[in-house]
Amino acid sequence: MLFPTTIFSDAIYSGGVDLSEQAFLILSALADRPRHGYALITEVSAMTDGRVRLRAGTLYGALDRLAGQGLVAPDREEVENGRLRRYYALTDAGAEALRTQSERMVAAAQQATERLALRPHLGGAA
Amino acid sequence: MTALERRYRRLLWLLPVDERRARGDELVGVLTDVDAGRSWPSPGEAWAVLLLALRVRGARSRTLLILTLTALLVAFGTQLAGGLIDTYTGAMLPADLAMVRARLPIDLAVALVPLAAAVAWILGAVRIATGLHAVSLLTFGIVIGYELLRTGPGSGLDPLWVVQALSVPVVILVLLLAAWRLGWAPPRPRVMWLLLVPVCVAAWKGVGVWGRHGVTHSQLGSRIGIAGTVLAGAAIAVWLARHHHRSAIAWAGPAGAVSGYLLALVLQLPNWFWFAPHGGDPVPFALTLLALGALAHLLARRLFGERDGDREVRTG
Repeated sequence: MLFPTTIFSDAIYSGGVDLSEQAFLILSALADRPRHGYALITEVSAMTDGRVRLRAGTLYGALDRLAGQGLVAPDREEVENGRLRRYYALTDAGAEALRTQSERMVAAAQQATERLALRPHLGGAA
Repeated sequence: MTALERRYRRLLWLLPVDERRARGDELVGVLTDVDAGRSWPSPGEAWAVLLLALRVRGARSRTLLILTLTALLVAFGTQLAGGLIDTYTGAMLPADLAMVRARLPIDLAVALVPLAAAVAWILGAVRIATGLHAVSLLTFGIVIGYELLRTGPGSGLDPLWVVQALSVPVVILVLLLAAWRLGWAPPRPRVMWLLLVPVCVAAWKGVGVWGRHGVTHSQLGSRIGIAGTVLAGAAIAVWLARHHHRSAIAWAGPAGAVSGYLLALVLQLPNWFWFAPHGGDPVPFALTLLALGALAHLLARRLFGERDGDREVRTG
């Protein structure tokens, strides 16, 4: 691959959906209930302890791609304090992609943990 | 309306009109929340809006970018092959030819790599085309670098010429990488583009002949060429206008005017390519191919319908 990829895109690609870390986090933030743009930004930031802070332009670019893949869809619109809020919801396909990705990441993390435990200076067997 | 909101609304003019109408209020709401307490947009958010606008506009111009890539690749990829043929068929005196004949295998290899990249792209082998073109660009860069080192500063190549000479292959590489990454398909009809490859090789050989040994073209040919270009441009404009492709008209207008002007120059001044300000520039050639390719694309879509790869990306 000429472009750098993360474990996310490589892992998911074989499943038919190419998810970046950013997309994974957005889908995760939508897993429990629909959220509007600003709520998504704050939720992703909270989920990652501030490590990932989505820019609004980046978020809407990612939402475009995810909507194109059928993983998210607009849910409803509301006006709060004079501001238009459009809510986005996870689709069934999005939930399935998120579940598949989560299981693979858990399996990968499990493998990594087991192998790290084998290193002598970490207390594992030689 | 706060100063921050007013400034963000101005920034959103970067987005296409329909995107701005559909999403402007929503985006401004998020942006003003994110930058609450500020009077000016933060650089990071402004940069992300700029990238979003580029992405949206780029996705909508995909067909044009693919045609531009193909036209540039064919014009650039056939240049060395045409020049090589010209070298052995009249450009050099027999006595001088003996000096270059010894390096024919190298010249042949250098000429065939970009040619193979163009053919690979037309056939849909994007990775092979990218690899071959990267090799070609690397070779080109090494040759120029060696020449710069050999002649030293001040007495060697014109820096402006170097930038211009490298700009076309670099742009091609960027577009090929985009094609690879974004899954672009080569334009239709493939047969036409494949046939254009030998035609372009012959054309590069031909422009080498112009201006040599008193070879010129008749004024009649020039007038027929200009009239044909004007009529073709008018027909395309009428067709586009009838189908309300306003953005296409905006592109087709300047492209048609430039290609018509260049075609007229080519026909009136037979050595235009050769004695162009930066001799051997493939861009004028590519513009002519672009106009031809755009016309063929529109006809193919009309006759054979739209395929998945032709569909422009719509967002919002």
